Amino acid sequence: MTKDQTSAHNTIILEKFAKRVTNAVGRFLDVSTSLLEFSTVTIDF
Amino acid sequence: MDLYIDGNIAQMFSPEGTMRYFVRLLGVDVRSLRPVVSQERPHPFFLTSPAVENVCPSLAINGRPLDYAISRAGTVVPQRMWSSGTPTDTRCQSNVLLNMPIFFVHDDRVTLGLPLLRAVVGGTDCLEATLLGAGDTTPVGNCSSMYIRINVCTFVLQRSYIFVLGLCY
Repeated sequence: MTKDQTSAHNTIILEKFAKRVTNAVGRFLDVSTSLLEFSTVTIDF
Repeated sequence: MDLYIDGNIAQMFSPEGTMRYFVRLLGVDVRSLRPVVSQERPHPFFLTSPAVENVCPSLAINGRPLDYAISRAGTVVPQRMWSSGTPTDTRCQSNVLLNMPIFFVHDDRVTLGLPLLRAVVGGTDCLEATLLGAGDTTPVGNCSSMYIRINVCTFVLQRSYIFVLGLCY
């Protein structure tokens, strides 16, 4: 993979990023059973 | 308005936690850089001192706000800085460079954050129409993954909003 391809792979527009964050939070809330807990959400670009 | 009292980050992390966060982000006590707050809504806090370029030259501040003053739009969910609790991970995390915080600003240039109810019901279709700079590249730096540590207190969900403070790897 060239440097340019790597750069393109790592680009994510704000709208898509916001959607991924929102969806990740939604998934977390679906599976969360305690009132206060940490969870790690990974967003790959 | 005081960054350590009136900012969203201060409301999330407490003033002491916010101080630790900004020291981690900038390498210095941010008060020594004399942040200023705009009098126009949504009241962003900026660093205008050229000294910040010397403090942390790799940080792409470029006029981006450090924080915004809290508003009456909804609840700021209390957070704490994430830690795995294991010494090895703690040492690793302390070496990770943080990016500037990312705030979701809507195209009215006043409304901040993403409604948590939208996350709960899974509806994100209208984000494109309302998010300022929706088509711009997200300023996350040169990383391939972002780890977002979520700490949610579910009984304050009804009018909560999402802000992002992430660690990039």
